[in-house]
Amino acid sequence: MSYRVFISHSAKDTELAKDLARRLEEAGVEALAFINKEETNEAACEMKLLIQMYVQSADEVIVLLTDNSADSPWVRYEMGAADGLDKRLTPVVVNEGVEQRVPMVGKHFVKYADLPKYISSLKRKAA
Amino acid sequence: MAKRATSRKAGKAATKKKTGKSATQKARRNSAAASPYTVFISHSSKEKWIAEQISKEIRTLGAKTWLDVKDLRGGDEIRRSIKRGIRASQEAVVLLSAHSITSQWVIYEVAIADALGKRITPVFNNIAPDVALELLQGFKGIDLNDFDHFLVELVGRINERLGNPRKAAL
Repeated sequence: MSYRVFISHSAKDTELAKDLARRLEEAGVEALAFINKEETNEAACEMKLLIQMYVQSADEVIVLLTDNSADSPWVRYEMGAADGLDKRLTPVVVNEGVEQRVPMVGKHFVKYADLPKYISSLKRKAA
Repeated sequence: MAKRATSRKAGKAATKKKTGKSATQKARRNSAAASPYTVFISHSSKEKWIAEQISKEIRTLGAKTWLDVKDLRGGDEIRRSIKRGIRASQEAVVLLSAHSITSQWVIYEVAIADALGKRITPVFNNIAPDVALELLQGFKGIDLNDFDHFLVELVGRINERLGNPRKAAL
């Protein structure tokens, strides 16, 4: 059974997203992400449609919460899409304290330092 | 004897069928009564008063409204309540102003409404549509001063759902 994760991130954190994608793939988890979405000329309605499709096709959405993504409207949109489509939503706090700037992040989040442990737990799901 | 039994059985089946049908109709009536047409109102808390006026206007048409009040509850709980509200609604109104375009929740709510396939109407309050959210491109918006036009269209949708085409035509 394959397990697919959509990585929600700011375009400014592309390297971070690529790194997470690589680590997930190494654990046997399929990773999806929109690269450079804030720099494309794609019309907003098409972007929204694509995001909904990507999120729909995933089992889980991991949000990379950083100083860059805390105020990103697209990241917020992806979080809403995850909740609307009943997908598991996992915020990963990269910059300490950033979760306090994003009110939809409740008590449940993964600290960046605990990411290897979290990825192992996903590995079991993908197995 | 056997004939009688058969006819009695057939009669019973027919009665059962009849009862079944009326029960369905009753259930349909009940569900329509239990869930009137509902409009979710997304807004920034800085525009609470305007949102409440919009809510009142919609309620006078016989519809229900869901005003998303974000109080001191935790993020998880607010998220659950927003989702419940949008799911229970047939459409969403998004009040847009200089405040709400920076609101953390408005975009999140638009995404949920999109995911659940709900009709979304942006309402512009002192903000030009082109400076409003890029994310709301593609939706037919309305200026707050023209909100009456929205109400007229809403009456049509409410009556259509309640199966009253004559009223809808008026």
